[in-house]
Amino acid sequence: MKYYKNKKEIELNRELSILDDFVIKFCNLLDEYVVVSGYVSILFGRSRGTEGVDLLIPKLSENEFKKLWRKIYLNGFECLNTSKVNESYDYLKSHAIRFALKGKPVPNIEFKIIKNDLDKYSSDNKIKVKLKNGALFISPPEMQIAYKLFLASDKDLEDAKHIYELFKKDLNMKELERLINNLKVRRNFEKIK
Amino acid sequence: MKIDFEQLEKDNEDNFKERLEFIKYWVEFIKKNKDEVWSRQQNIVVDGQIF
Repeated sequence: MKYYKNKKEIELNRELSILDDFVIKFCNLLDEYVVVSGYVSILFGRSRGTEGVDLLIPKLSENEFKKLWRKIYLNGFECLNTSKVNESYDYLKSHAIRFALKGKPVPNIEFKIIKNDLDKYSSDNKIKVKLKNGALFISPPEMQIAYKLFLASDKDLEDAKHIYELFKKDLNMKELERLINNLKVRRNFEKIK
Repeated sequence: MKIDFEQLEKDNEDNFKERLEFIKYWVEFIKKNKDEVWSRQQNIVVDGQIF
């Protein structure tokens, strides 16, 4: 793995898992997105499974969403919340919606609109991960760590520890400290350091 | 049934610390080996729940 901080790029030569192929296939259908939360730790080696991959996208007009919906369905995915595009668009305004390969609910993509400053931060500072069979955009490691410390289940703290140990040398410590202070997660940070 | 909650709590904390230690160990393994090597091992766990 090589992290080119100035270019905001990571080169990762991992063997792709079925989960990676699934995520790449879905993300290739999107113009703009950022992958956040647990799957990012898994992409970088955390040895655990997951049901859902969290993904943030910018706000879409109803027409844009309908176009995307059609593209998603034509590529073999289905929405697990509803099969009606109008219902789905309304639901997306306040909730996440899930997409999976038809007839295979696991794994699935938890699809959310960018709503708050934390989401926006992840999107504005996203990192491109170049893989053997494509590329993915992920939220930066500093935010990954801080947000996982905020979620704070054992699983989340372990994800934070994984990313922290792996990127330790390359982290922007000033930025990590700032995010830790903003999210008020100093105590949890001390637990995993 | 007698339950020693204090002991259970302590066991839980110790278990969490051990898991963090393992993560550190695993990350060292990742750093020392090529991406292809660690990912092949990891994929057994990651894909294990996908049918």
